[in-house]
Amino acid sequence: METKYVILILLMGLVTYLTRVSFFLLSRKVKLPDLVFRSLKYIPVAILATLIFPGIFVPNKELDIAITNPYIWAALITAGTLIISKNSLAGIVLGIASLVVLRTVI
Amino acid sequence: MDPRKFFTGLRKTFPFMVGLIPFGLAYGIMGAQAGLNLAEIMFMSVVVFAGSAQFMAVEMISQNIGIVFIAFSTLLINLRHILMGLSLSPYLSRLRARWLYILAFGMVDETYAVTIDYYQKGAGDSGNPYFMLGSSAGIYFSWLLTSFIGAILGSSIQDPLAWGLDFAMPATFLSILIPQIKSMRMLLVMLISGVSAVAFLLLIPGKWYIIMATLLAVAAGTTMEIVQERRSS
Repeated sequence: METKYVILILLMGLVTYLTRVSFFLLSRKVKLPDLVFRSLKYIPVAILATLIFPGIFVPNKELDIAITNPYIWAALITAGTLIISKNSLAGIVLGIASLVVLRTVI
Repeated sequence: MDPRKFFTGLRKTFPFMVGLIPFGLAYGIMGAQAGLNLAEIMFMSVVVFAGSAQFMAVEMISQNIGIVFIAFSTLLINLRHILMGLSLSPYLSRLRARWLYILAFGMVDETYAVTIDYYQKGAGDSGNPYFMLGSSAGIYFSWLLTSFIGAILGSSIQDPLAWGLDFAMPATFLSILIPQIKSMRMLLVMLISGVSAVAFLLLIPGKWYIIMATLLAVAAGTTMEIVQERRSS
């Protein structure tokens, strides 16, 4: 292994671990203010949305909100299936399958 | 603290282990194309264990960007983990510190999503560390195996993300997100976060968009909650 890559990887590992461990440890030492405590329940939904929306609306590093964007349709099909069937596997499988089909059609 | 919940965590994470396959392969392939050897590709997956940061790093390596800048970008893209840690911390507050050092290493997006979903539902088992450990172990296994296969295959196969399999991750995250939208306020938090993430991604260079959009949406949700409370009281 090249030394510069070893250094890079160790640095990346260090900063990644620090971001992951920081609040686990900090929240033991510091009592969270009530306001922060109340805001915690919004974090999962907010983070999940930031992980999902860019992949759908910015598929190739450019904004694509046209009706020809197959990711939007696939996301709607996934969400619709999840709401109707309440079955996560059905939603995931139908969503991916619809994208594969839509890409050949559109 | 039932240790058998390790397997519950593993089972609930299974869709993500499958959805991760094209990404692990693509990472290995991209790493090989960027000029990293098998040992370097695997060392990064073993030590860093952060998909989006590793993708970014191999892309930057192929552009000959300096290591300090890559490390700083890794920090930026991983800032979201601070919020994930904050969100999980109330459930883990009774554990020994030793558990936290172990669990923190495996707190990737997928494990966070599955674990917070499980802890929120509670059922008397909130904060069981074995659940999170099982979930992390599943993702780690899938990530290492697929990075390895991708690195070996190298450029002999096409980019699997080009087939439409890149939708596997958004689809799996949607399967956790949708059931969480139980009120108008949660719907608004989701929309504010998603739309602002897209806007920040397009407008602000670098990887600030995740943390900025999340903070904005969380602040908006909390504000709405307080305003509605004051009105009704």
